[in-house]
Amino acid sequence: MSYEMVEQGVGVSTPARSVAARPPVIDDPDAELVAAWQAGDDSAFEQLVRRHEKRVFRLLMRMMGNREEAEDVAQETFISLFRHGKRFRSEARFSTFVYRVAANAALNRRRSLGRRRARIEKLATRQAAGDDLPQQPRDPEDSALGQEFTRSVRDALQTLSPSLRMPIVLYDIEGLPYGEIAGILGVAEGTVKSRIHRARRALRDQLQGLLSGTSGGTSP
Amino acid sequence: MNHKDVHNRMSDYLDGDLDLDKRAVFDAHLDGCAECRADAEELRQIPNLLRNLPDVEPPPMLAADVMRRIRLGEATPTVGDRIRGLLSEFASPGIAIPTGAMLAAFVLALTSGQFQLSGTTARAPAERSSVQRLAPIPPEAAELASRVFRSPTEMPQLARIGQVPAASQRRAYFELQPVSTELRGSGAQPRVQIVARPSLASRFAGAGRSSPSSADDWLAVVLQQPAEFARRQASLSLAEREHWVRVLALRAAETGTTGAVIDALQRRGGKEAQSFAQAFGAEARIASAQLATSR
Repeated sequence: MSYEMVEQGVGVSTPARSVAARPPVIDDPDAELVAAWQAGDDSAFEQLVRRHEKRVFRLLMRMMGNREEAEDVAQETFISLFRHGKRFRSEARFSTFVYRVAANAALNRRRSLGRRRARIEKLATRQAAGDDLPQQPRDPEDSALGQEFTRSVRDALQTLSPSLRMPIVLYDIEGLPYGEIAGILGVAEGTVKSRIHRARRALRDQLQGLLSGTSGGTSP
Repeated sequence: MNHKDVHNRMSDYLDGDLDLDKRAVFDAHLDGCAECRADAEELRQIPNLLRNLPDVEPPPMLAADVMRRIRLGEATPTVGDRIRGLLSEFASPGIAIPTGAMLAAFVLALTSGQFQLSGTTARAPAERSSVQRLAPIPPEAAELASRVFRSPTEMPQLARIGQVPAASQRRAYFELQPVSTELRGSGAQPRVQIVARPSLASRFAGAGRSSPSSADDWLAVVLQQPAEFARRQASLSLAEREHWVRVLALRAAETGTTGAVIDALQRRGGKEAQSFAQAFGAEARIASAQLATSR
């Protein structure tokens, strides 16, 4: 299953490779709120939004690269979740479903806004020529120590294609297991692993100057 | 184990996913190979760099903004959403339904099966050409199908089989219904039917009354005969009911008759009118809010 299909599936269908019906997840901490919302209680949905907004926003910040886009896509994510989520039937954890909807929203956004993407590419080119990206004053990262370092890592992440960036963000930043990432992206676990591997190598090449012990071959 | 093997399995090694035997062989190689050792050292740092990125806080009003947009009706499912929802009910839980392939075999039928809508790949060429010679399908069905199949590549060929009187097409209300799911290989190919039902207007006309023709006429019917209106509404499909709720709520909001309509339905509409009144009230609130912002 490809990214395109993940996009179109809006996160409800599960990957084609797991054809057998999976048993319902028993220990989903969101189960009660989801049930209340599916029974018509919109305030339960609001609680679900509050519970998941931080993770969703973090993922989208890493995927979209700037706060403004991440905010827009976060809103789209939760609206899409509300629209489609009543079809959610606890075959996976609700949080996995939320990640899947967010991943779809992020990938859709990057595809559909060609003009905006062209602008981002232009900025990236300018940046590569030494003309730095404008500051994002509302982003707390910029007030933290090691701004330059942080920005280098963040920018390097943005140079990855979305199909490599998404799995490495989900694995190395969000800490999800391979199997769950495979479910979110609708690809095989082996594909997730190899994409993470390629993403790490690409980042290593980008961040060569920041890494310690790069030339001596020091013993582990 | 050579350089290439080490290169390929490096992530597994660093994530601790190698079994003990392989790990020992891996370690032995690293001990003797400065190049691979440097590679491992550098790659080991990448996850830490990512994990140490400063945390970010979501905007404080995110949940409130989302709920406001939901209340304004932005999360209302589209026809496409609804058909995907219906189809997902048909597929077994573990099977994906990609939008394009899911409707490769797509049957459009008027109540008697007079229309056929088929995917270009689903029919033999000879059969397809004979279908294409027939007259075009009703615009309502084409419009509905174009909303379900959003891109031209997904859009199956529409074709009409048989004769349907033009007047009945205009009065018909088209609706998508899943009719079966065929599983071939690993993919699901649900069949979907587009059903034409007589419109509400023709049902009233059929009952020996003159058919109301505008939203204003219908609002008058609701105010004067709420029970009769509710009884007929109850026999409509979900899609039809939603359509009428929306049309009437908008017109009522425009003319300031929302309160009177709800009152008529609640007091004199009987049991069947209550759910319509509730949906009407919710839709009218959205319509009023939209009118207020557009003024």
